[in-house]
Amino acid sequence: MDEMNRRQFVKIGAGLGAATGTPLVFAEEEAKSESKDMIYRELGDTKLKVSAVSLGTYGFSNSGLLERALDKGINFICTAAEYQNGVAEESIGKVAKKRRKDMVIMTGWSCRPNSTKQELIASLDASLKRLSTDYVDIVKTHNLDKAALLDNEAQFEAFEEAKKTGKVGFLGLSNHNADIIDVLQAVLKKKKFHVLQCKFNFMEYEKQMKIFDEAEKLGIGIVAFKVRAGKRENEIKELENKGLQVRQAAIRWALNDKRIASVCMGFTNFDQIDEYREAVMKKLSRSDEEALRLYAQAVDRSYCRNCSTCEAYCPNQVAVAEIMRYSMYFKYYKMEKEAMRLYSALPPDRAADPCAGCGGFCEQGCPYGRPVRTGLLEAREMLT
Amino acid sequence: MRSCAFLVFSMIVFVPAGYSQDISSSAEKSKVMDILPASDFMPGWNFEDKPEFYQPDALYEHVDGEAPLYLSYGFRGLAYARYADSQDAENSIAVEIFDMGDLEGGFGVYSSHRHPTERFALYGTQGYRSGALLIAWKGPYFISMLGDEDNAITADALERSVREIVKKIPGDDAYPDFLKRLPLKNRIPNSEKFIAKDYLGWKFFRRAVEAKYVVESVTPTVFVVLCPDADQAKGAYAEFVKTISGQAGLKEDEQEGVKSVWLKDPYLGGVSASQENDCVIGVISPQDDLSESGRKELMEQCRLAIRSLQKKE
Repeated sequence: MDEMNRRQFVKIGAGLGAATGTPLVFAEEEAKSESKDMIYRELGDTKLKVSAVSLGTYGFSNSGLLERALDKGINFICTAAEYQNGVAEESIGKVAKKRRKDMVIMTGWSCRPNSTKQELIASLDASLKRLSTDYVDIVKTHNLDKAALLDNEAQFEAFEEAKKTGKVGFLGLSNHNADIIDVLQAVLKKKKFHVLQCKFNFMEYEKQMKIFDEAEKLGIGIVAFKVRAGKRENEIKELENKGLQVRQAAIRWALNDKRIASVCMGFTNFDQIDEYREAVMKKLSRSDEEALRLYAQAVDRSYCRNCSTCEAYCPNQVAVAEIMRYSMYFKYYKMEKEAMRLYSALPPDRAADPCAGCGGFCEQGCPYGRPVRTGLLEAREMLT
Repeated sequence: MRSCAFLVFSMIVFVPAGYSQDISSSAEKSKVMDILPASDFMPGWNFEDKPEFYQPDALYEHVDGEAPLYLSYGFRGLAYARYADSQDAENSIAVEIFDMGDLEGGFGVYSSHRHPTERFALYGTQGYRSGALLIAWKGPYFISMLGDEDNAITADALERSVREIVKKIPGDDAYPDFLKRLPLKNRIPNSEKFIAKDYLGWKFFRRAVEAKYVVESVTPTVFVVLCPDADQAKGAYAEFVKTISGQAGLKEDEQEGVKSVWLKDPYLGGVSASQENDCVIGVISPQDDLSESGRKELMEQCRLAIRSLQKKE
């Protein structure tokens, strides 16, 4: 595949400005933020002022980390009753006991097709108890990944009742599906939600633009996650030593769209608080855009999607997708022994031995133009 | 061959990348998929859909924001299946079996999901059921199951399926050895946790175990940061001291050649720490209400536990 040019990069997604007509706002290369405060944005018509980076709390149990995040101006906390069966909410609650007024809390209930209003209210009550508060700013239907779930009116009835009793202010939803458009279109038609939490990144954003246009008209606040598009910067040679810039650039890219009120990130250590805070305090620069372009180009070219399309073209029945996966485990997940063990467990007639003398028919079959044969030869060398 | 290739292409090409798909079998996949209960594990029940398998790079597609937690503990593969009652389709359960690679990883994920006050049962090594949710662990496997309805039928299905699963998991009901580094006296049962990275929010404390205790009517936490060797423990301890060195109220102590520090951290409360061979040990008292003698006693018990373990080794 030819070197990706700027037009192709824009087509993939990192040139938000050119694709939408909204000009990208670049900082001067040497610009530094003079403000020491966090950036806050209004969350749609809720008028809640939320920090541009928010705390995602699955796996969370460190109350000290939350306190430090609050001290640094990160006030928006995203959690759910499901997270470690309530352990995350309890950890948040330890801090909320003394600092509730510093926090905008969004928690989630799980609405299944047969969930009743009473069950959802009971779930919310249990969350409030764990969170050591008598109200949350937003309750969201967590993981709303099928449009059919919107048919369960119990979530709306539960919200209305909870709102009347002062337990909650607004209703949101989170969507994690790989293909979110059908669900989000159905959500917009419903006109019952105030907050939408979904993935949004520089590699896969085009389909969401119209959704966000409509959400904006309806006054729905948008919280983005999965902004890092796979977190594969460590796999890319051209981005060696630029991991931090890529991580920060991905956040800035998402926030460059003013409809995004906040980018939700997971935190496990204190350094990340400063890293993400720094990310939002600066605008997207041209060198940020270049880093994202390099990322998009490399990932597009090298990323094996494990679709196995190429295997149909292989005359030797090599287990290409499997071997590529083991190669990834070895190189990027640091699972060297396991990767070698897995490779050695392959039936001998499916290993990459014939690839050295083969014409590389697999590459003809790859819908992404990957150098498949080269990858197989490298894998064989590495895993044997 | 060409028409076959085209057929395969058209069947496969639009499957989302990394999503569950009918890929060629592998040792990794079959190891965990074989543990799923059979479709008819209960009379009248069957698979609602075809079981699915998720590799590490595809885990996000199933558990999304939860993925980093599992990956940090060494996640290898997930087997997922839904079962439904043919008599009443509203009775259905979802079963997830996470292969965490080893005993430490299995325990680690499980410990992050458990609360000491649960009513535990012998589902595998340990587990509990809370309404329509059932969590269990054995060896490298963490099991999470959820019923769509919270009734006696799905409760029965959850119990039967977990017993089917644990029967298929080889090995005994061992706990990881690293828990022996935590003192036993006054420990709150089932409060032990294993944290795989960034313990207390510090990058230099990579892997740690902790547990809660009852001492003098307060509940401090004892922690043991597990380092590969004494030199690395020394380095981690030095990093910790350097990080807290600017804080007011820091006290340093040395007794019989063993150094320790104590301070009131603005975020953690009262914290003391010291190096003990290949570990950094410490006590956290969030309200800073543990007496100095209580704190020293806990530290000493921790040292003895580690030394006793190392003598046996």
